Amino acid sequence: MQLPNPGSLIGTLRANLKQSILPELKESGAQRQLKAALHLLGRLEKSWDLYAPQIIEDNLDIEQSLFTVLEQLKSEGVGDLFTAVSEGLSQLAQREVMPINGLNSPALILAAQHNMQLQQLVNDTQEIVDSVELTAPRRVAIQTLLTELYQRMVRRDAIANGDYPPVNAISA
Amino acid sequence: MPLVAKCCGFLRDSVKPMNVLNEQFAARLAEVIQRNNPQMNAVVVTELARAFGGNARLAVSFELGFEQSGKVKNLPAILLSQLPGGHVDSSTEDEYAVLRALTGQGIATPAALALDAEGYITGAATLIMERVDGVASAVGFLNDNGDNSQPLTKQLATNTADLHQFDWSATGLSGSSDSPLMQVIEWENTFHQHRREPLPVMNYLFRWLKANIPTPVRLSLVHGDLRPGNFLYQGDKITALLDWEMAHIGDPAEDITWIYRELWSPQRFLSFEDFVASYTAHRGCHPGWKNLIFYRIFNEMKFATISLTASTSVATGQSDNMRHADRASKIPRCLELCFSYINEFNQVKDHAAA
Repeated sequence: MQLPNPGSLIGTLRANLKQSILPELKESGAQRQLKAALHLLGRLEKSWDLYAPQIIEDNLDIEQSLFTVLEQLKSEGVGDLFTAVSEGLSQLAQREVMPINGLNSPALILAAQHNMQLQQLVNDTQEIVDSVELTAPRRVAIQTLLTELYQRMVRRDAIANGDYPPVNAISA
Repeated sequence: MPLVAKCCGFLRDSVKPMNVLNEQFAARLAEVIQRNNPQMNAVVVTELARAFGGNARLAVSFELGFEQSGKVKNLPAILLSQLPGGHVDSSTEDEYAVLRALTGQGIATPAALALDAEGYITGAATLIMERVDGVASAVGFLNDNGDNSQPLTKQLATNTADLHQFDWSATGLSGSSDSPLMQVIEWENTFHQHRREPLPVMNYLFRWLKANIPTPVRLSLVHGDLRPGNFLYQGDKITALLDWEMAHIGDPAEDITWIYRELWSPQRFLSFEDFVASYTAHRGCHPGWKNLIFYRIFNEMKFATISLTASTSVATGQSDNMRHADRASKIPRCLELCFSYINEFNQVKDHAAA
């Protein structure tokens, strides 16, 4: 471990800018910009280390949820329509690390790429679910699975923002 | 075109003090006002000063002098000009047409004076209007102990009702039974245009909106951004509704629920139910509870899309406004509220079916 950690550094940066630079600026566009930057630094300070676990948990949850939805559809006899989605899921492991602005760790870049692909597969799945014929109870059951996934995804994003206590970040 | 390019480049840097308020600026401004108002003679612009125009617009206040019917007149006025990288795709021409149609019609708005759609004055589309007395401070309004903000909120209910009763055919805006759906589609298109990842939750919620849109009680001229900060007030009196750049034809429930978004809600001065009751008493027509819940969801998606657009504009270098940089962090709260309101919507729907 190396101290100070990034959150501590961001906190120091924010405190110093607030104490030494902000008072030097009169009411102006520059002052408004600095106030907005301080606000942003405050959020980063309390959330910088929540981003990586959020992506990893999101990926696991989306994959598991999509497999469950695909299983349900197979039992309805419409699983064929999901060939592209199924193939997409099975191909996620075969990918190269492409640069992503703002990320440095190759493992995290890979997880972020994975997340983008999974997000697209969720979109594709929802589109297909909306367009195929299903019995009413099955449609309700599948949409419930997807809606619950959406709500968990939103909750994770909120936790990663620092909107909720980070103690829940992994288990929520 | 060189002038346009030069001005746009200058305006983009919104942090540095602007130095364009010179004689040439005043002369061009006077020329545009004269051209738009042939009945005015000897138009003179003086006392140019920067004013706060929000995150997306340059505002310049000035004094307008002119001769009309042999009399010398003076009018306080203001210019609003689009800044590049704004978080709302809007048409200054449409906004001007709406203001022009509302001028003198008993709706609390500043009188429209001129339009410079080509950007002759600043390099960007500009509208010029009467400067009305009052403050537009959302913070001042929301932090009030209630002495002023309670009567202001009641007045906002009646002003909103007046607006929704206005015969919108004079505005030049087009409207039909498809207008509410077109609004959803427009915001969905904006979302598609500015998203930088698939965002399946927003994608799903736009699909939900399109599948569940209610019929409006009556198609109306909707302000589209009516909230604390977008109306002028003096003491306990509203003097003008401002910022008509998002005006359109749609469901009145959209404005009512936008006023009560949690970020700026006047709930502590007047409950949402009492606001709706006051609105209904003045207008003689309830907007419909199902419509109100639907537009709570729509408005969260609208705010989420505006936040996404703002954030993307900074990430792609179109804007240097630091207040926009982190706007995407507002989205999860919007989406959480959407799911909560969908539960409410379904209960109202189920109740109606039962």
